Amino acid sequence: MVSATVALAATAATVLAFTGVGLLASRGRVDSVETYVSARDSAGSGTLAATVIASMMGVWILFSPAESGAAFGGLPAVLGYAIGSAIPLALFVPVGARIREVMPAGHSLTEFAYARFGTGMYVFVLAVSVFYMFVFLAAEMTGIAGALAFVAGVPHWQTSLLVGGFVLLYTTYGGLLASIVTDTVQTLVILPLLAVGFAGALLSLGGAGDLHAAAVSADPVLLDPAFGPGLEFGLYVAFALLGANMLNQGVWQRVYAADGERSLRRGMGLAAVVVVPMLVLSGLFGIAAAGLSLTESGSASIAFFLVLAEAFPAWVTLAVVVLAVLLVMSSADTMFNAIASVVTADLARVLDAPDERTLWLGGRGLTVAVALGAIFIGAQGYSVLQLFLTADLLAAGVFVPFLAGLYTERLTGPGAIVSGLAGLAVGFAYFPTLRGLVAAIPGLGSALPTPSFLVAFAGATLVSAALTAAATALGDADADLETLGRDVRSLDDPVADGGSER
Amino acid sequence: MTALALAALGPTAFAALAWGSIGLVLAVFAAVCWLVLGER
Repeated sequence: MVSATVALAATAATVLAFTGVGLLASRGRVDSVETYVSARDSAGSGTLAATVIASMMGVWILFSPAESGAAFGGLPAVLGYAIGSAIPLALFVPVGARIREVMPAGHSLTEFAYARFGTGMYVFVLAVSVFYMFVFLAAEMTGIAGALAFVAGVPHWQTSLLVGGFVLLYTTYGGLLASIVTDTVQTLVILPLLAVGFAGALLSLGGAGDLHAAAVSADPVLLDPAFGPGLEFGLYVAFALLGANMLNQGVWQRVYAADGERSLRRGMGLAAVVVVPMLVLSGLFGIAAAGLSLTESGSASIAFFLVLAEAFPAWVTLAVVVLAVLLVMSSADTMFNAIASVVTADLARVLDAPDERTLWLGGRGLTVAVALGAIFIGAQGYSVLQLFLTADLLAAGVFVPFLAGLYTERLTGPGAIVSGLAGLAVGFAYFPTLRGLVAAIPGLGSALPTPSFLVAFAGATLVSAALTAAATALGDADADLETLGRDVRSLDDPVADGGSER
Repeated sequence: MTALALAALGPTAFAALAWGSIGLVLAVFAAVCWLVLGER
């Protein structure tokens, strides 16, 4: 086991180095709230790919895919997780191009929801999106605190405060620009570290042949691509990830940050491609852990780290600590800025012609508030799985009618809301996680069907999609998508606050 | 079902999945490096 002092020193060195990168990269460049929240047209293909990879691949990739491989269905569960994570990114190629076409000067997904559907859908999308992003953030802080506690016995609060505090520092100063630059460098460290790390583990454990033999000997279904529970898990995770990621403001920001449609297409495409092998590798750690009987005590959630401890000397663990810290930093800075940007963009509309100073205070104040909340939750060591699943289900119900508004002029705001609520009603009826709460509603207890995550997530998505199609056919909204973006307020009055006037 | 599946993913396929994933991650790493450097 690595000592807590050494692990904390490695963590501190990593966060300090990347805080320096973030501060230096954004120095003098963040001259308006517009740049702080949008970094519009600033990222080429490589930068966009790197920032999307870093933003989406948090420390969760060291936990969830490995756990799914070890405990939720072996190979098909891992493949479902991997492919399900890639689909939203691939979908953002056409959807992102459409977003830029419909609202070229936009900043956030809630801005679009308000302009296209009005207040009701705006509130719906705002609540679901911010809830999902905050849970993602809290899960990241909890994950890194748990990882350092496991490998080095570092108290949760120390890790949470150290990582969250420094990410807050450069994100508050440099906004989205700082996030994109640090993401780019982080991706260029994360990818080889992950590949070399897994190759080392594979060789240390005797090679692919030995690992295969161990997995088959321990439980043949681990490598069975047709294993039913694994397929079911893979399918419902794909539905869950689809909705949640389509409502991720961090990705919407990067759609606008691309310096053109070609960069958007290549950047999102590359990110979608690499997500699959990244998650497969992590998932194979879980299968390896199960094959080597390391997860017998019910510790599947830390399967990755169990294999690490088995395969490598303690000093290599330090490299993984650095990897984990990078994964968290790159996702946390995205979420800090994404949540702040949603509200900042809306402040410009909600407040009556706010001045630049008010918007700055809003943007930076919200970043601090979000960060403090996430640091606090990360220090508690809660299980956030139930919250994550709930956020995913909410997103599964709302994302289809929301995105349909990009393509049809007929769908009305009430039609979109009813479609979303109907999807959620079906989803919650089958949702195993909140069964007690739903059953407590008078008259519902005995009427609830057999719970199933697959039916809940697929049902929420497909029912909302079917009703969206019906509402579109029957609707007469006559929204003009050509002029939808003309009322978007620009946030780009230059000020000397963290940057210099041009 | 298990026997059929094991035939589908034998040791060679397992090795190909593991090493292929490693190779693909490294290939995308190289592509991202190349693209990022091309932006400068």
